[in-house]
Formats: sequence, structure tokens, C-alpha cells
Amino acid sequence: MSQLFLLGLAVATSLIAYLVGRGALGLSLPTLASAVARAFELIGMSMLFLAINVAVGLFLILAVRTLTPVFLSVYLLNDTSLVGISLVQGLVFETWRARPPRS
Amino acid sequence: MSVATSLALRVLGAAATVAFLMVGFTPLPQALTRWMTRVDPLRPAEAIVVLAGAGVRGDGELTDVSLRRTIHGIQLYHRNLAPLLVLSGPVSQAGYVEAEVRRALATACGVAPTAILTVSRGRTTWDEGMIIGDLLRQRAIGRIVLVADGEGMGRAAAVFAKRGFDVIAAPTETPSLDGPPEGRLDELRRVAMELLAWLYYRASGYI
Repeated sequence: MSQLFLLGLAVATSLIAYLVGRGALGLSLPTLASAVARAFELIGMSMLFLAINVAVGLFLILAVRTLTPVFLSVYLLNDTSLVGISLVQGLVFETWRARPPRS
Repeated sequence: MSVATSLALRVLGAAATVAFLMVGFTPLPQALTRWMTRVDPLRPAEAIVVLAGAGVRGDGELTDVSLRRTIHGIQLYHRNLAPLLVLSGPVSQAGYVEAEVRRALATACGVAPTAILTVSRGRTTWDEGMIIGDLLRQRAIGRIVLVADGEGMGRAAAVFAKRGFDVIAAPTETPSLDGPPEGRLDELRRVAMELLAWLYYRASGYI
């Protein structure tokens, strides 16, 4: 039930955004397609950061365990905030990467 | 380079979006957990081994995972499946020893103090397999009922089986296929971590 409500909510607000974009803002349909593609690029970069964060984190934890008497749990990586952090990293880096160089 | 990178990112982003929708809005994570969960028919053993589970909170209370496992172990003990209840759990950052907090709960729930063995040195499943394994061997125990969460049971049982124990897997729960998207995302996170741990244990020769 909750997932149907959330999906319905997302569909409804997306539809409203579409109508506002097409009507009040005068946006075109082809630019919507390119916006979706751009959004996928941003999400893709964030996923890349998530994979890198997990891999580097795992390596560091195992290195600390092996090389020092300190014990770090692998479950330190089992935290939802890592997804949020990776999302911000991906958005910033991909926006930076896509900017044309100065001069 | 830039066009190829952008295309690769689009594919990755689209795949992640589809995966997110499938995970959040279908029973896929719970189905994965069920697939990973080993459940054996219960039969008498010589000890019930309750593995550590996320420790003790800052206020000295057991975490949800630890509490669930402990209660499950106590219930199995009261069903007379084994005369010995092994409670594992290391010391927390705040100085609480999970195994001792569990012991207090078990005695409060009617488990005889002499039937409880606590182990506080194991910090990983493999550690627990080695330390508890040695203690049980000294008591000539060969068959155990093992208590852990569903998704980690396969790996935990394999650690003890490799040490020569006859393991009866008694996971704390089998997940329902219902639930809100947030719960499903959490379930997938735990499954992903467990898969990583399983790969690590395989690569290290622990199982």
C-alpha cells in the first residue's frame, strides 16, 4: 500500500511539473529528453563514487586491521549516509566535469 | 573520451534508477534474503550458539539485532534443544560487554546461570568461530544450534562447519515479502554487505 501511495505521489507531482514546464515555462519536449539523459549522467557519477567509496573504505579497514592493532568493523560501511555523501560527490564532480574549460 | 564517458554514465545512471525502483517497489530484496537464508529443521544439539549482533548501544541496552538474536536463543533453550547457551559479544566503545548484557537478560528470562557460557573476545564471525569452536571442543561438543540473522547464516554456518561442527541453522527470522520501500532498501543494503563479506571469506579461505 505504502509503495503504491509513494509511486502515485511521484507520478502526480511529475505530471504537474511537466504541465508547468510545457505551459507556464514554455519548455520543449526534446529538451526534456536531454534533461533525463543528463540526470542519468549525474546519477551514474554518484553510483561511481559510491562504488569507489565502498572499495576504498574496505581497503582502508582491512589495511588498518592488518597493519595495526586497531580493529575497525567492515560494518562501518553499512551506513545509508554513504549513499547521500556519494550523491553529493557525484553531483559536484559531474557538474564540474561537464563545464567547458575557461578561456 | 567525453562522449564515451557521458554515455557510460548514462547507462550506469539508468541502470541504477531501474534497480532502485525494483528494489524499493518490488519484493526483490526480501526474495534475495530468503535465497541467502539457511534454515534447518530443529533437532536436539549440545549447545546453542548466539553470535554477536551489532553490540550494545550507548545507553547500555542491546541493539535491536543483538536483542532479537538473544531472545531467539533463549526461546530455543527453553524448548530444550540444548543444555548450554553460548552468548557471544565483544566490549563496546562505551565499555559495555555485549555477552554480559546478554547473560543478564538470559538469566532474567529463566536460563540457569550454569547453563550460560559467555564469549567476549570475538570481533568477527571468523573470530567467533575460532574462539567458540575451541571452547566447545574442550567440552567435547560437536553439534550446535547456530543463531544469526538470515542473510548472514550461510557464511556463519560455513565457518563452524569448517571447524568440524554439525551445524543446525536457526536464523532469527525469514523476511516477509511485504514492507515499505525504506525497509526494502535497508534489506538490500544488508544483503549487499553480506555478499561482500561472503566473497571476502571465500577469498581468505575462511569458508
